[in-house]
Amino acid sequence: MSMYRYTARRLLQMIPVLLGVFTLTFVMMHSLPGNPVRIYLGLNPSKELADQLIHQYGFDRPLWQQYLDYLGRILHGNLGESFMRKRPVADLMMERIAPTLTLMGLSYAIALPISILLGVYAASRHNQLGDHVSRFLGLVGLSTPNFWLGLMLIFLLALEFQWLPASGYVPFAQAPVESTKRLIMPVITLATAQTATLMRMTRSSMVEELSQDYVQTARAYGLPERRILLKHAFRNALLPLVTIIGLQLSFLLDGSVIAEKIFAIPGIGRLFFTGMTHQDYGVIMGLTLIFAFLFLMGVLLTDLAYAYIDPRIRYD
Amino acid sequence: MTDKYEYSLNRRRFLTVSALGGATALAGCGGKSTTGDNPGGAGTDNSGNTDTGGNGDGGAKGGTFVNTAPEDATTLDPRMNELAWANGMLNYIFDPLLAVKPDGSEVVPHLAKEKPKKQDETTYTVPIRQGVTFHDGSKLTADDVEYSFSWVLNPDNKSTNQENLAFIDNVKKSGDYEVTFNLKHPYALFELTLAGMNAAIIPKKAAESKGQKKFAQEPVGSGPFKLKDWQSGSDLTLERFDDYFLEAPNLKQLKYRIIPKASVQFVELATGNVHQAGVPKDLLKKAQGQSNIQMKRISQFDYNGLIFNAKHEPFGNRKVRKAMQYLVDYDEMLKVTKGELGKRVYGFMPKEVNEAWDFPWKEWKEKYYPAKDHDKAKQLLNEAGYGDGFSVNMSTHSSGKFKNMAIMLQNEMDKVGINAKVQEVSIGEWLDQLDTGEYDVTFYGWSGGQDPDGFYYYLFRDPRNDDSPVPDDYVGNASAGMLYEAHPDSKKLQKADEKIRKARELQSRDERRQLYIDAAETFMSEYPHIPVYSEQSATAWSKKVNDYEPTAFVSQPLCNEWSNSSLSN
Repeated sequence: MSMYRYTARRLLQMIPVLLGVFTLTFVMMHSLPGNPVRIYLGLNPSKELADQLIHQYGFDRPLWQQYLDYLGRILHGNLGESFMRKRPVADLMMERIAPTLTLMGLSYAIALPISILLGVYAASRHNQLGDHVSRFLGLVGLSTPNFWLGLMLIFLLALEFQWLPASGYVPFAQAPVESTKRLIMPVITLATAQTATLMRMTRSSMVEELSQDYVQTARAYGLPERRILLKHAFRNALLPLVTIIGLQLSFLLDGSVIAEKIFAIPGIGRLFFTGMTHQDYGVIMGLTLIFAFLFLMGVLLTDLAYAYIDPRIRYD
Repeated sequence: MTDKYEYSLNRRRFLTVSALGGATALAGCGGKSTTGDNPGGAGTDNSGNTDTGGNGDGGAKGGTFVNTAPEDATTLDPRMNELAWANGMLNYIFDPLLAVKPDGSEVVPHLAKEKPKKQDETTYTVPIRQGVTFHDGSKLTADDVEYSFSWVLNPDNKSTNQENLAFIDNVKKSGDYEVTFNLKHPYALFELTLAGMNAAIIPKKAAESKGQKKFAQEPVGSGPFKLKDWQSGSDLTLERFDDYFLEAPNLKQLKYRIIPKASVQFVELATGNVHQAGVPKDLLKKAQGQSNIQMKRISQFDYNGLIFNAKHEPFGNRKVRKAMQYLVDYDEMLKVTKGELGKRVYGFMPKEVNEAWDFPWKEWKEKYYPAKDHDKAKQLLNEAGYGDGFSVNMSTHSSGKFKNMAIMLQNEMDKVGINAKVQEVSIGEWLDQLDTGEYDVTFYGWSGGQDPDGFYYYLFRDPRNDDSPVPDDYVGNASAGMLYEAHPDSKKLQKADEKIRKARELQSRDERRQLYIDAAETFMSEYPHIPVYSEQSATAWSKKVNDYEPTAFVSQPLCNEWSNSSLSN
């Protein structure tokens, strides 16, 4: 029962956090010079039209009034409208969420097992050749910029060898083969840095565990090394790793902006990017809130997962 | 007669990414198209296809032409569209009353049965073609034409095109198939305006029943293609409209894929996944080596340069501004910024405009655009009392081309003791600076089309003399606005403003030409800013496409009076 109470309490605590995110984003956005109307009309606009539109959208009203209006709308479940596209932000998000989630989900699905395997392997070969090679690979993966890797993959696999289509997105349900082909390069691009980060974390966490007394004791008892590694040390090493996995969510979002732009994937990341460049208030606010919510959920799930991993943790 | 030019195209050109790709089939702002480099030397290609005519009879029916665009359209309603690349798409869905020949030489009737008939200086009647059908099956009549213009002109609708049609007082139906245009004043670019998407004809019934917002998502036009599917941020698919009034397109579908990165667009073209794309300057050589595509340079009819704020010392001093002309090798600036994809600009107009209008640009080049000479620059700075140098704030928004220009200018300034700080700002901040004048030097690009009016009226008129009064602190345009404000009583500048306004209202090309020469010389001698280059986008398309020739003028090259494209297998 206490777990349910704990979850409910944590969910309630999200409200002030989200309100804080909302307020901060609102203030930051409005403290930027310019406004969506000005950007939309571009150079040498008609002063009359600009003034009319600014008035129509209420950008000339006191900031506190705009804030309260907007907050009222959000509380009614209305994320607002995109100024650029004149469409509800919620609709735009629903159209764009699937490609981003697919991309992020697949990247995780690939990064996690590879990184854990490599990390455990490197730790088990601590300071030997296998460890050095794994660490070197990790360093390379970590320091390769996403956009460079993406473009290189396109030039190699699409232009030179013509194995894969260079860009675009097809829903998996619509054409599984075509969809998979188009996802390979963006997923590699996104998963590379992810794998490197998680691999390094797993390794250092495992190295620490393997130096604990209980591992020495287990070895002295003559337990098989594989069992020591996977059953004892790895379970304990998982704890910091789970924290990182939750936090990595925000980095994935960051990477998806770049991957979506390079590979022409119509996802949330690109929507957010164009929203930012056009100061499309509705899009920025709506997406920031959703991202914040997802992130908080990620952290909550991480905390809940602790219980399964470490029975000493109590919900109180 | 000049060719087509759409003002609305140009509002937001500075927001476009480097290569426009498919969007270079811009709803043509005219000029002479430049010669393309066709790999293999073939101008056209008939890869095994028997179609050599313009009527498309022999072309293969069917197939999907896949074009590319760097960004998604935000609306498919031409009355509300403000984006250049989206105009390229809209031209396939909607028709204007007139059209421009692909070589830009003449405006011809399109939805109109004949060209506008002049009744007096400000009254024209336009007979409308009968038998034109909209995509929803309704017939196009004078009601639709009257409605289309009246809707835009009604301030309550807040159409972004209102300003482009501001010369029209009203449009009235004067018969079932005839409308009468009453203009506020004679307007030199009347016919040209009617040939663009600012004057697209919308079905009254469909637009009223859907409402503007829904119509923007589900447009109904009379163009050769109708909307099939629009995936936000991904692609736009149009399908053949069998009842198109000229002749149904040979192509079954036209698809625009949104691919933000120019290099990726090119890879898609080279690998045969799309039929048209832009070529970024770094890939020109690679493109020339591809046997499956042909390439052409298409003028953007713009110019890019640096602007000085004449309200800030020391740029209030003409000699200091002139010194900036001697400071930099602007040919070099063009080269490092655009490589082969640009041409130097003289007289604030691209070379194509200068040549089409026979402006004395070679004399201008000699007189106002001297080569780099630091001694001369220093001498001018000394004469102006700034020989010991000064500090300058330069701002640029984060576009590669402007950043390159800023860094080069900063280096040269450094050599003559000017301490320049380059500040990179967001688009919003940059526009704010242009409005408020919070800059010393900034960088700027403007697409004005093929008529000098597109440059002079928008960049060099004095907004304080506009019909609708502007506030005292409103600059209106960064280009000359600062100069006017710095010298509010200058008779010389006021004369130039009068000439720019007068040139809009004259029909005689010779008289207009002389007025523009005078205005150009006034402003060149003042150096309010230095025009550096105009862009030439490299557009490439697959050799599998027959009867297809994009030019700077043709609004939609796939299916029009002169061509009906098809695809070979």
